This record gives sequence, structure tokens and C-alpha cells, in this order.
Amino acid sequence: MASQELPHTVTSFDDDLHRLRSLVVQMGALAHAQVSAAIEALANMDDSAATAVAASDALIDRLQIEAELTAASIFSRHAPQASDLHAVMAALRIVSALERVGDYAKNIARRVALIVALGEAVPPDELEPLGEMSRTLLRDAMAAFLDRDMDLAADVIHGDEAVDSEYYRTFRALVRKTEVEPEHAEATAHLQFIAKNFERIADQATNISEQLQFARSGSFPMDRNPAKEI
Amino acid sequence: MTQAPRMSSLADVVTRQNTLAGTTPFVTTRNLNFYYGDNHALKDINLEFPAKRVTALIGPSGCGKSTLLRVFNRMYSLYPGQRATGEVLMDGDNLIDPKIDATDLRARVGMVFQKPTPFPMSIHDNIAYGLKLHLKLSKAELEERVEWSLRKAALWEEAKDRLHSSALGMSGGQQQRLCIARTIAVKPEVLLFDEPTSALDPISTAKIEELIAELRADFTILIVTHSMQQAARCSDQTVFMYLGNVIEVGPTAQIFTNPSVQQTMEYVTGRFG
Repeated sequence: MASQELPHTVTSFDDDLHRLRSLVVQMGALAHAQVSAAIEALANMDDSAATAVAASDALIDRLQIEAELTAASIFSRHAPQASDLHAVMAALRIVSALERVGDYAKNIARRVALIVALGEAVPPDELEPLGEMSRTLLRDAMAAFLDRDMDLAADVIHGDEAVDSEYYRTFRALVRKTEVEPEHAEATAHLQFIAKNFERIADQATNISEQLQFARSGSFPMDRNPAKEI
Repeated sequence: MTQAPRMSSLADVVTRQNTLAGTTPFVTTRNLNFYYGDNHALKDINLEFPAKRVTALIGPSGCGKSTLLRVFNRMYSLYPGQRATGEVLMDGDNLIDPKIDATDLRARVGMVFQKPTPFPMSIHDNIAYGLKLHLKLSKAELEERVEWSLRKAALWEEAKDRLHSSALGMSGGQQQRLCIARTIAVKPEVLLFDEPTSALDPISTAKIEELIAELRADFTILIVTHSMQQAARCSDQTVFMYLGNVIEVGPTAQIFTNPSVQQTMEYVTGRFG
């Protein structure tokens, strides 16, 4: 919005807002990298890659803490109003969403390691479209945040519906797989959990885009789906 | 979902105000203009000030907020070359009509200034002075009113044991509360506060703000403040002014979270000027 292009009279306010924004961008990049690594580990059934994803989650958590401390400092030092208030509130909710994305990626990686430990050949092909759609939605949500692109944010919100459809298709396919290959029921159950984690990643991407809209308008849409609450 | 786009310039501003929900206007200005000689300082001010609510006037220096405040009790009449046109309506009276006696007006519309201005008298006499000037009270009634005023101003406990000592011996915060007590003693209908805490320490400021919150139960209050946080804390309605014009007026929560006018947004977020 136009007022955000004008600098604050107190330059430290701009510095602090920029710092918070940078932390959000860093977290977004890291969360996207974690999701990508988890997808890679799943595709290759690579348990060592899975271990690396789990270990990297701590960095996302540290960035969340730093972002929250920065936001708290902004509240106490600058008493932000109107658009600044919305931006800081939105940033706090976005870092919370990204922290959950990191957790979902870690959970996917752990499930991969459990499947590998079972020693069963269970191709994860059914999950490939869902994983890719979720990763794309997350990428677009962060791109919308970076560029303050409201159109892209709206596309992300609308795109979640397709992810939900793909999730239910995947769910039914895995159920059929369990019926056809009961000897792989445990591994298939892990794949079901992984599918759910992908669906939740897409939900968080939607939440991020909704927060971007909140930062711009200061209000939420009346038809906001309470099930998608952060 | 999308909010209506913010108005970007003064030309877009519709000078129309919705009465604060659940209130009735107590003071109304209609086409109010004010001049310092040839300087047109207030331009077509049309505002409603709700009864027993606090209205904050905010804006950069020179915007006209103190000028507007001082119209309500005709302070300008003390100075030649200053004049107001239009109407300031209260209880059917036009307050700027010269037929309204200025002394009586200033008993109905009390004012508290930035710098505490206690009289060089005792605490008691600071309050009794105005009462004796405006009202015919018995001694008992006078004493009762003095106590009432000091209690209302949250000063009784601190002052009751030294009522006849000099008011000049009080702290700044106490002096300002004494000035408030003195103002409300004659039971005005409107209270005008012109930056009442800018000369006070944070604790005294907090006490004055708390007092304003209590006084709104009985008085219609207008406050000029340079502190946006004070305006956000203390007021029900906020008026943003610039160069003698009202730019935006609305519920305080809305002005500080989602103003309609871009200029207001820039001012409350500290991007102005």
C-alpha cells in the first residue's frame, strides 16, 4: 500500500520492520527447502536425507523465536498503529505457520525413515502430485509475501481447493492399496500420514496468504473458513 | 473481502460524520470558520461531539486543533482581530453568539491548560473562588462542593489534611488535578483539555488519564493531545485535522487501526511530514 512506501520519521522503526520482514523471508526459504528435501527423501526412500531434514528443523524454530522477539520489541518501542500494526500481527502469524510447515516436513522425513526401516518396497508415487502441489503453493505464498502480490495471494487461497481434492484422491488410492496389499499395511499407513502432512502444508500456505491480505486490509474475509484457522 | 480504497486527497474527503454509535451529539459545529486577522485558520468545520464521551483532536502543529478547542469557550474574544463565523450549538445556544455572556459560557464550558495554573491561594480557595463567583452557596454547601470537586479529581485524600496550605506547594501532577477540580467545581457541561499532561511525568500522566476516564461519566470532554497513544487510550472519538481542515473523524479504534483516509494513515503511523 502507498503508505508503506513512505518511510517513518523515526528510521529505527523502518529498520525494525525490515528486520522482521527479513526473518519471515528467511523462515519461508528454509521451510520451502525443508519441504523440498522431505519430498526428495520420500521419492528416493532415502533415510539419511530424512535424518538431515529432521535435524534442520531446529533452525526454523530459532528463527521463529527471533522473529517473535523482534515483533515484541516493535510493539514496545514503537506502538505500531493501523497498517504497521497489521503488518506486525500478520508477520507473527506467518512465522507460526512456517514453523508448523517445518514440523510437517520433519514429520514426513521421520515417516520416510520408518518406512525404510520396515524394509518394504512401497513406491510413494501416489503422493508425488500432492507433494508437488503443496510445495508450489508454499512457494507462491512466500513469493506473494516477498513481492506484496495480492493477486498471487488470492491464487494461493483458491488453489488450496485443488490440493484438498488431490489429497482425497490420494487418500482413497492408499486405502485401496491397503486392501490390495495388506502385507504393506503399516508402510501404507505411514504414507497416509505423509499425505495428510502435505495437505496441512498447503493449508498453512493458504493461511500465509490470508495474513498477507490482512496486512493489506486490516480485516479478514467474512467467509473465512474456520477450519483453516492457524 | 476487499476494503474500499483509501481516499488519497482532501478533495476526496466527504465532510460527513456518522454519530458515534449509541450516543447523541451534545455539541455541534456548523460551517465553523475562524480567522486570525486575514489568516483563515479553521475552514468549514462541521463536527458532532457526543454527550459524555471523550473526543480527541489530533494533528500536526498548526493544524488548528487548539484553535478549535478555544472556540468553544470563546477564548479568542480576549484578543482583537480574532473572529469566528458559523455556529457552535449546545443546548440550542450558539456559543459564539456575542449575546451569550462569556463568563457564564466559561462556567458551562470549562478548560484545563497544558501548564497547571493554580491560583496563588490555598488549595481550598482555588476551588472556592470560582464557586463564589458563579454560585450563591451557603457555607456548608460550599465546603461540600469543595470536597466533592477534590474527590472527583482524585485529590481529596492527598489534600484533605492541608486544604488551607498554598496550592503552589503541590507537585505538578497535583496542581493539574487541582485545576481539574477547580474547573469541575462549577459543574460545567463540557470540559476542554488542551494537552493536559504534556508537562507532567508518566505517573502523573497516567493519573490524569484515569481521571479523564472517570469524568466522562458526567461530562462531555474534548482533548487536544500531541500523543497519539494518549488519544488512542483516552478517547471514544478522534478527529484528525490538517491545515485548518477536518480530514477524518471516527471511532478512535477505527482511526488508529483502519483509517479511511490515506493522510490519516500516514499521520497515525508516523510517516507524516
